[in-house]
This record gives sequence, C-alpha cells and structure tokens, in this order.
Amino acid sequence: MALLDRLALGDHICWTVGDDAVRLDSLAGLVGAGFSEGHRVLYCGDDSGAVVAAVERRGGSGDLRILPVESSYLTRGVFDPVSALSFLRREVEDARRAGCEGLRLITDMSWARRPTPGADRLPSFEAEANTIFAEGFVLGVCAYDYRVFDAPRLRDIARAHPGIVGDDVPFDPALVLRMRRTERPFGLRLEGEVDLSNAPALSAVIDHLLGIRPDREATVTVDVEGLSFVDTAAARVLLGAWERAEGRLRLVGRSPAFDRILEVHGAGRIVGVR
Amino acid sequence: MSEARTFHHPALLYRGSAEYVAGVSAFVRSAVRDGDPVLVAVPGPNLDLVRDALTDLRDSITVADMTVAGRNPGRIIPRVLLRFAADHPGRRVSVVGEPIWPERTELEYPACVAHEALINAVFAERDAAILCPYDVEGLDPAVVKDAWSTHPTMIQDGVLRDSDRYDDPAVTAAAFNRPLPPPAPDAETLVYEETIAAVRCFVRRHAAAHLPEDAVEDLVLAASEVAANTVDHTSGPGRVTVWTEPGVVVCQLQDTGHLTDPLAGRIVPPHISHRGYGLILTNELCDLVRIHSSPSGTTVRLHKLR
Repeated sequence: MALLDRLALGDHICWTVGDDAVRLDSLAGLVGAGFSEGHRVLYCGDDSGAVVAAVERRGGSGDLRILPVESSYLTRGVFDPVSALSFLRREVEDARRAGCEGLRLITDMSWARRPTPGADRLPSFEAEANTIFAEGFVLGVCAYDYRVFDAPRLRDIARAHPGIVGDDVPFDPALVLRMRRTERPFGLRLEGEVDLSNAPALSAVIDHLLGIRPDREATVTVDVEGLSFVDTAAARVLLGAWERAEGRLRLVGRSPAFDRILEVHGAGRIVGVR
Repeated sequence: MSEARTFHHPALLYRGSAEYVAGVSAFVRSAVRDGDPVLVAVPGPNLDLVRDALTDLRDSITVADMTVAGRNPGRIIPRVLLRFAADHPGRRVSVVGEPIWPERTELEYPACVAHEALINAVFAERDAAILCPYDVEGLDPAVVKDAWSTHPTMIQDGVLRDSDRYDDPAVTAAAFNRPLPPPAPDAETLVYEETIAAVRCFVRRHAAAHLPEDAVEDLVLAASEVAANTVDHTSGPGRVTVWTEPGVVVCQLQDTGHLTDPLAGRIVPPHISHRGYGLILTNELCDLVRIHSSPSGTTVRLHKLR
C-alpha cells in the first residue's frame, strides 16, 4: 500500500520524508488519487517539473494547479502567516465556486530551509490552518524534508499538525487526530488519537471555535466519542478551553478512560464538563 | 480544649492483633470524639479487626483496603490521603494508614519508604493526623528501623514519644532513590524520539498477550504519559522496555532527563493549566511506579498485575 493512500478531506498531515524517490512517487500518487476523486489538486513547491513528469508517467489527468511558493505562501519573499492563510482561503473559495468535490493541497515546504523572514512562524501558521482543514473541504499534505530541518524546529512544526507520517510507515487514520467542524450542534467532532504530539493543533481549532461562536452565550460542543486515545496534554487543552469559555464547552461521548483523566484534573468539581 | 492544629504522624509499633486493635481503636475513638472525619486504610485482614472492634462507629468512619487503594505506594498521597482531605474541606482529618505489610516486595519497598517520608512534606502545613501501624513481628527489623526516620513520633508499648532518628523527608526520599535491577534478558526494547504513538503501539503489542484489555490500556496510557515527559523535557531519545515477571507485566522507560522533585506524581498541580498531571495519572493506573533519577538519566518502571 502506498504511504498516503488513506487520507480523507479534512486531514492535515505533516509528512516527514527524506528519500527523494519515495517523495516523488508518493506526491505523484497523491495527485493521481485527487484526480480520481474529483478534487482540485494544488501543488505548491519547488520541484513542480519533476512532480508533473511523475504524474504524467502515471497517465492520470485532472484539475491540477501548480503555484511556486513565491506566489502562494510568500509575499515579496517574506513568510507572513496572515497572508498565507488568506491565500489558502482564497484557493478554497475558488475550488468551491468551481464545483470541485474538494481541494487537495500538496506543499513541498523545502523553501523554508532558505533564509526567509518570518519562516519561524511556520508552527503558528500550520496550527491556524487547521481551522480551514476542519471544515472538511481541504486535505493538506505538508512535505518536510527531515534532512534539511533541524530536529527541534521540525518537532514544533509537526506538533501543529493533527497527524504526522514518516517515509516508512503508511498513513493510518486511527493513529492521527481527525477534527471536523459540526454546525448542529455548533462545535467539533474528534476521531483518532490526540496527545502531546498534536495537542497544539487541537488547541488552535478549539480557540478559533470559541472566538467565532454565534454569541457569547453559545456553547461549543466537542464530540469526543470517536477518540481512541487521549492523554493529559490533550485534556489540558480541552479543560483550559472550558475554563476560558466559562463553562460553555461540552465534551460529549466521553469514554471511561477520558473521564478518568478529567477526574485526575479535579473535573469532579468542574461541573460543566460532566 | 483542643490542642494546636498541626500535623501528627506517629508510627504505631504493634505486636499481635490485640495490641493492633487497642492502638488503632484508641486513635479512632479519640478522633471521632473530636469530630474529625476518619479514614481507616489498612490491609484487608487488619481492616476486619478494626471493623469488628469499632462496630458502634461503623457510620462515622470511612474504610479502604490499603492493598487495593494503596497497592501502588505512589498513589497513596494523591488518591487516598489528599482525596480524603479534599472531601472534607476546612476540617481536620484523621487517618489510619498502613502502607507497609510483610508481603511488600523488595522492589515495592523503596517506594513505600519514600511515600512515608514525603507524607511529612505534603502535610506539613495541614491540620491532620495520620497513624501508621507497623507490624513489628511480621516485618523485617530494618523496615521497622526505617519507620523511625520517616515518623517524627512513635508509639511503642503504648507510649508516645519523639523519634530520635527522624530525618528530613527530602533526605530520606533521596536515600531511597535507588537504582533498579536490570530488565529480564528476554525483554523487548524500542527506542523512541518524537512519536509517542509508537511507544503506545509497542507496549500494546507486548502486553496484550498477558493482561486483560482494560489493564493493557491502563499500561499503554501510563507509558504514553511517561514517554510524553521524555519528549517534553529531554532532547535525547528514550527507551521503552517490556517484559513479564511472575504475576506482573513490567514496562520501563528510560531517558536522559533528571527528575528532581520527589513530590512529582504525588501532589496535584495548583491549576489545570499546569503540567504534572501525567505522573499522577500514571500512579493511579499502575500497581507500582518506581522512579530512579540522577543527573545522568531517569528510569521509570511500571508494574501491572496480571
């Protein structure tokens, strides 16, 4: 099975890859899969020529847009998370208006190894971008070459993604966090595993939801029934949000294991969570 | 009138059940008379003795089998003692706590002594009394000797007196911060860096054959919390090792960090935004948590009974 076969719209994956052949092959596979699912495929990165050639060798065709990073993530050579997010939102709107089934955003982040002003804000951009992915229309794969990023930097970037995939073990949806917005009730549905290594991604989406509540009295409902694993780092995110929302955050579908973690945090006294 | 509101932590050195019942009953009756909420947390057979002797106070005391509630010595302070105090806010509480019994293993024992010592640090400013019975006939004399360093006062032959060997809790805890014996030769090992999920998969795979599903997931969560500490607080990789011993599945995590706070995992952080809940949870999930930490690294060994 190919590395990135089981991705679905709404997923946002940090793909740490250090093998050029694997990288090219998987990127072409991702594009081809997007074609067969009726997605618009947006490729942002340096090696577009090689990727296009690999896609052509596979013989697929579809809605493929290729943008150099200079006209997508960077503005006049500077990385600014706010403009990068606006770029993303514009592309989402475009794809929606064009009637696409979804948007597949494939980004080769190798540009960030070049000295680029603002590149230190990548983790906060990747975290904020989850609010767009959680809408369920965009699937994002961010390819980070671990040969060119130092480990602490890559760690901070990876934690801003709900899921991380290496170049040896195929993507398994059960082992990452899936976050999807819900309108009724207003909130978020979570599936998979959430722990210290992706809690910042959850935090960004929850904070965003608290901020865009229809009114200050509105409650954010987080459906956690699909979570197969939660640790104290993730619970800290949810309890912190509960506190900031003055109790207007509900966690529904909790497992006994989840309740136990809440109890350790003294949630017996946190009435609204129960 | 009532005496000054301070912490009392006497050890009761007893020989035989008559002396046990007399010493414990006197403590409990006096506490009930003073209006204190009372918890008796002692091993099952001793609990029966206490119950039989205090049938008239049945409704005034809370009981727990310490071999269950306090199986893991690291769990006694947060789960048994502080929880009971929190259930009775603003009141002086009295507890009979017997954390050490003859069947405690050599591996459990250092965690028991650290627990006994650290009670003094945790309750120093609190209004409480904790009586710790020691079975002088059943326990190794060295164990009874250690009780003199962990208890400021002793009750011997029915007489209360100061311990002349009581030591600073941190010093005693440090003295029992002891290296662990090596893992079994057939143990399975995984080196981990950032991916805590890999640690969970590894522990699940190697524990599944030996434990019921719920117990496997307890061990998986505990190992994940310890591994998260490695990822959070160290730069180097960690090693997780799993093996079985008679009656127990053992999971050990080693990293290059240095855990300097002996109270980690024993006292609940002041606010939910703080870190430190992971080790509390680990203590709750496991039947034994042994920690050995030095500037050259930390080893955390987790036991789950089969």
